[in-house]
Amino acid sequence: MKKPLPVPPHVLSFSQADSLFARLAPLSPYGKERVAEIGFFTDFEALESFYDDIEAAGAALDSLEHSARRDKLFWHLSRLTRIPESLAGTSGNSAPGSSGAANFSASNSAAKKISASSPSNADAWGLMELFLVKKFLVHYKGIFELLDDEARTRFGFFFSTQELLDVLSAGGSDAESFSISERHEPALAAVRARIARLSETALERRRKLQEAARTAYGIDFAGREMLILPVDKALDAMGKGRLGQGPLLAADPYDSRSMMIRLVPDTELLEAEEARRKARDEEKLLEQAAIVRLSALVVAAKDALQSYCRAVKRFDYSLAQWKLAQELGMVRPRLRARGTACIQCHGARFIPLEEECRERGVAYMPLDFELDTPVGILSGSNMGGKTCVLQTLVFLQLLAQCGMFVPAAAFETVVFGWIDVIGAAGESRGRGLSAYGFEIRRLIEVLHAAKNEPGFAVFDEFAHTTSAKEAQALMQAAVEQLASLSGTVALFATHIECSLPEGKGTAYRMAGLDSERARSIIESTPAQSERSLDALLAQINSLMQYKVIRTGKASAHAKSDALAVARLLGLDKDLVDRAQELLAESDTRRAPPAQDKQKERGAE
Amino acid sequence: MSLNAALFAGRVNFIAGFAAASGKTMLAKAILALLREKGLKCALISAGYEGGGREPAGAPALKMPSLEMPTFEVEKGEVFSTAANALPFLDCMPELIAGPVGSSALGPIVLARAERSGSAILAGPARSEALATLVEAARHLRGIDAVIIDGTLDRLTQISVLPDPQLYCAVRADRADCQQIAKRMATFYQLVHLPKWDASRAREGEALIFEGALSSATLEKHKSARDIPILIKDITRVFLRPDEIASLSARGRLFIQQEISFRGFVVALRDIEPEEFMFYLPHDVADSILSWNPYEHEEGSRFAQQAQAADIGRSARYKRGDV
Repeated sequence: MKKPLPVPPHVLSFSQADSLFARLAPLSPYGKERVAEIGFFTDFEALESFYDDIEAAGAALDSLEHSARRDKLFWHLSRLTRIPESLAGTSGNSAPGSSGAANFSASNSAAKKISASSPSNADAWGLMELFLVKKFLVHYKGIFELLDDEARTRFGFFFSTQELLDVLSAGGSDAESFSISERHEPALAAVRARIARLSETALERRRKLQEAARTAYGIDFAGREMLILPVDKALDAMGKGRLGQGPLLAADPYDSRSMMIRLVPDTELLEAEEARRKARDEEKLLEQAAIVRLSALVVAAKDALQSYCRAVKRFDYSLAQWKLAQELGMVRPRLRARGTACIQCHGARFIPLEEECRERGVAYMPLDFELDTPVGILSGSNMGGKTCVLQTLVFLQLLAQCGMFVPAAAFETVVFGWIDVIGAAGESRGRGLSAYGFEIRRLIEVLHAAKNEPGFAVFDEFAHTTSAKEAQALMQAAVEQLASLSGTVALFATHIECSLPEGKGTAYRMAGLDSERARSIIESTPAQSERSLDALLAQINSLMQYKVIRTGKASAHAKSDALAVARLLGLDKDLVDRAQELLAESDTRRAPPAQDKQKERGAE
Repeated sequence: MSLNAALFAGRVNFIAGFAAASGKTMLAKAILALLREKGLKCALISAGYEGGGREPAGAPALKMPSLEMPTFEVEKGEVFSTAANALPFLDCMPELIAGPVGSSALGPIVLARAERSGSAILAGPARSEALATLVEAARHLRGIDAVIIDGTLDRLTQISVLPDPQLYCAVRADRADCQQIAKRMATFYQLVHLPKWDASRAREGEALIFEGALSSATLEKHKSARDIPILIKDITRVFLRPDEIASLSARGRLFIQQEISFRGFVVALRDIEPEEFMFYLPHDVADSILSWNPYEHEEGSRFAQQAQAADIGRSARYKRGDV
């Protein structure tokens, strides 16, 4: 499997795909780790395998007929702990080399912390590492038992460490908890019994001393380790203690009028405590020996544990993908072999925009689109949705090549070697480049990449910051060159008129503004500027037909409805009328005079 | 009112203090003793630790417990938060029951149950979310009757994520700093008694709503909005000077969305009598003193009259001419 590529930040930002990645909610630490490894895959087989995993995870869930069993599966996944990194060895296994990929999850830092504090070999292991392994095994086994054979085989689940689990389960009062018990080290029983006796002796002795202090001095410690007494009372009690009339007291000054007193342990108490300390040292050695033995057993099962972690990672991640796909109505993409230029979608939804529309109470129109030539040019009204078309396509392509299902009724595409966005607003430029300079740099990169490997590039209002004439020439040249490169697909959203190479390009336009209705609204409501922006946008939204129309013309150019949209946005009527006048004059100048036309016809 | 087990049983109790060595851990131990006398079992959780908190990024975890880590004598069945590297040093036969949750300089934090009486080293996460996870796990454990959090004041933000916490403030004052401490108590009292915002007033533009911290700088930015109420999520978001808090409170401008249940101050005095100390306190603050030093011997000590704290307060106010 080829390593995934990191998703370029500007592509991520343009497509807002990270907002969807962030909604993936695996339950186990390994599933969460996998989310952080999301990257752009260029391997056809790998992508198909990811899609198969998602479907298999869904089938595994469906096979659990009762919701209680499903809840149990989710519970086990959420309770499963991360075992020491030296055992798990999962990092990067399912998506290696993704260090440059965006970090979508906070779980990574937690993983590092545990890993940093975990020993690299079993000699340095302690109680916590064994606790983690036991808890992991308990829940792993729970997941394993809930899955059917098909899912087990698909994701690599097996369970061959019952013996280890039994040994670890010998310590702890419930399935998850862990302590070193006498069953781990039989010699502990005698030592612990001795410690218990000595503890009881010490406790009893302390009680007696406290009782004696109460009787002799009228001082009640009531379970507290020290007391604050007025100096005279403290000194009186200490004096009595020295005379043997009660237990000995130790005192420290508290302030100028009071002292802090403690009971001085007597010989019996000291002896009991010393004997307990020695027994505790013995116990510590025995516990350490047990820990070393148990750790060796765990290390011996390292291969199995690594496989468990990989299986959980793959299954939990795929299950999260399945759940998201169900929630958002996502489907499996259909992939075509590389080299063909074809992207086709039906009912495609750009989820961030769809949700924004829902929040704003305006209609959202899913996208139907088909591009089967190397270059496509999309023109149309201002605010007519051209950029959203590009965003939707990049969004879907990115999800598909990250191994995810896509929000559409159907999506068929090619596995590209790279994906890029040129001219997107909001990209940070830096290094002294102007917006134009930055676009040119990106174009150079895209052309260079396209010569090496077919990719998918979208151009959003390319060259719009330079003079119209030069922009047109530059774009024409770029279109011609991109059309000549095999396998690369480029889609331009533009207002610039451009000729398309024969058989290599397709022109599209947005259905755009419903001119009749727009005119009637503009004429009937002259005070557009007094309306709130939200109201104006809602109105434009209702007048726009967010639909892509394949024009079939060799030359791509559609009207922009710029003046009507400006009016709908509240621009002063006189200003718009004057612009309309100028536009009409310019059109008249450009059109050949009627006599000339007749001459032309006669010549023909 | 003095301390008693009923105050703490069945609740999440957060102990704050104005500084290190203000008696928080001693108060936690005293509460523990009260609960044990009633046969109740506690979960003890530390919120970071004094002078520490999180280790600097990249720093190796300490391998040995530091002297600063609070050591508790725990009884069989009690639960406590501790750190992975402290486990070999505990002689209470710890059984690990939850975690790891967050981290400390002593490594990842776990929740352990003492399988026998013995010593335990308390350690806890500095991050609020991790603390909340620990507390949530501890309060639902079978056989646990109360949760005590040995907290800090500089990380009081932690309390905002806890489930229905009760806040106690441990205070230590002596003759040299009693006036300053009294002022801090008054400010703290004002904060924990900020009025709750009435949602029915929450029409657009009627209040300045601060989602994050309210500091002197943010207040300065909005100085033109002099008479508009200020709404904050809870008191842990307030980082104003005492005079600013007093001024806003006096003008009835500061409101909170989420109340914190403040149960009172527990005050340990050195070289100063309660009557004298209370002279420096506004009467409502004096009335909120829940207890004097819980280690004072009740009978025959110079604080024998502590049960009549309210009387002392009245007497002090009488001298001052408040009543």
